[in-house]
Order: sequence, then C-alpha cells, then structure tokens
Amino acid sequence: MTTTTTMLVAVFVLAFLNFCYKASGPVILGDRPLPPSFKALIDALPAALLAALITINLLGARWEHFDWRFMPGLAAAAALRLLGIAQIVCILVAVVGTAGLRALT
Amino acid sequence: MPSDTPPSEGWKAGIRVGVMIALAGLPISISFGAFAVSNGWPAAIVIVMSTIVFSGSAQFALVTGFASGGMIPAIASATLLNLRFIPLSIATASSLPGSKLRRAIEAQSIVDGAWFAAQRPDGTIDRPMLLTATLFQWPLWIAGTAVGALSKPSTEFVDKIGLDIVFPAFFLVILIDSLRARRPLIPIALAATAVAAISVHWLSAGVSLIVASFVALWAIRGTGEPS
Repeated sequence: MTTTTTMLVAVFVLAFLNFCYKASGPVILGDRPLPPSFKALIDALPAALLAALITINLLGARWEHFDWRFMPGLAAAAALRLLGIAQIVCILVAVVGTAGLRALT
Repeated sequence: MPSDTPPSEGWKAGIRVGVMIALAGLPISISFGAFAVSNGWPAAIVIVMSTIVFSGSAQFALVTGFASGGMIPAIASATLLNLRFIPLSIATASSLPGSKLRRAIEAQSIVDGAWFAAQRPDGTIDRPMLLTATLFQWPLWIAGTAVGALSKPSTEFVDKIGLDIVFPAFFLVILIDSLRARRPLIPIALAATAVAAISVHWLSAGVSLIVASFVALWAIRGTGEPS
C-alpha cells in the first residue's frame, strides 16, 4: 500500500468509527430512560470535558504550549461574560487583549 | 423527548451560535490544513478528512500519530480522543425524534461546540440549536482547512494576531454559562481542570482529556447508586 493509500484508509476508518460513536446513543439506547446515576454522569460530563479541553488547549502536551499572555485576555472575557456581555464581544476582547499584549512584549 | 423540557431557542439562535463557533474554529481549521500538508499529507486528502471526519482534535491526532508511528497508532489515538462522543450521543438520544436510523443520522451533528451550546439547564439537548449550529460550522471548517492546506500560513502569523485564543475563549464563555445554570457542577469543573493540567504534563492531549473526564463520575455520589 502506498503512503497516500494508507492515509486515505486511515481517514475513512476514522470517519466510520466516528459515525458509529455518534450513532451509538440512538441505536443502543433507543427510547429507554437513563438510570439516575448515568443521568448524573451525563449531566456532569460537559462541565468536566469543557474545563479539561480549555486547560489542555492552553497548556499543550508537557505544558509546552503555555503562554502567560493568554491569561489577561481570558480573564477579561470571563469577567465580561459574568457581567452578561454578549459571547462574541467577550471573545473579541480576548483576541484583541492577547494580540495587544504580544505586540507590547 | 420529555414533555416538560424548556422551549427551543430556535433555528435563528442556532445559526447565530453556529456562525460564532465557525468563526472561532476558522483559525484552527486553517492551522490544521497547514499543519497536515506540512506533515506530508496531500491537500486533497486533508480536505476530504475535514469533510467526512469533521473533528478537529481527532484530525490533529491522526496527522500527529501518522507522523510518529504509522496508521495503527494514528487511528488509535484519534479514535481514543473521540470516545467522548459515545456518552454525548447517549445524552442526546432522548432529544432526537423519529426512527433509530433518523436519530442516528441526526446524531452526526454532535460536535463539541454545538453540543455544549445546545445543552439546556435540565440536561436535555436543544435539537434545532444543535442541528443548525453544526450545519453552519461544517462548510466553514472545510473551507478553513482548504485555505490552510493550499496557502500554508505560518503559525506565527496566527499567533501574532491573537487568533489562537479564540478556541479556549469560546469554550470558556460556554463553560461559564453552563456553570451559572448548574452551580453544583463548579467543583467538578475545577477538579477536571486540575486533573487535566497534571495529566497533560505526562500524557498525550487525547489521553489527558479522557482521564479528566472521569472526574464527572464524582457526580454519581448522592444518586443512591453505587459508583
């Protein structure tokens, strides 16, 4: 198999498994209600995953991606969101703040 | 679908969220296209990947794994990272109408940003929001990948104008919204942050994500069932 063919096979295998993962809920569970413990787990999963995604994205593997100049922009975005400012404005403030800080340092 | 679920925010809200997520994801998709091509992937295959996989973290994992160990490690790392879609799919199942086949197809709209945004305070999923937000993200994800794969902008340029903060900032505001609606989950989010920070120092990003997600098991306490 050539490298290009191997790459194509890898892409299609990943796409197929991805399809199966996402279809698993409706196909396996159907209309059955979730047990309370599983419901509690599912309710908590987004918060845990989101917090982990943010942390991992900021730090990177072996913390090699960490840049302290992210922090003021993120803190400003969080504070503005807590004050009820629109999401897109919060994100723009984070972008402008981070770019500005990088330009200054 | 439960009859006492809150009303949907509607398709228009889904479009708004979808466009916002798509714009937030644009620098990531451009970076991915450039990253994959610089790792020896033909631009056409990279664009096909974004079209049929449509999962940023898994796509990065596939390219990284392929460069370091070939097809098997690449698929293993990418699929491990996407294991999170199984519980998300299970959580979504009751919010989708129709036959199993139709629901299985609609469940393909589960992608991180849209799914998190479509979460209602009662734990159900706002179906119009999920479907619309994903449908608006998808073409921009493909377009961004194509731009990156064909033009290969430097990561320094993306970093210089602050676009690398878009993804964490977007997820942060969604997390804040989620925790304001469900304050008992704040300790779980904090614990997941700590576990992710520690584990990513030693493990790959994909494995760290799964390790940190186990913190959600803490929520089972108090439900009267063994964990």
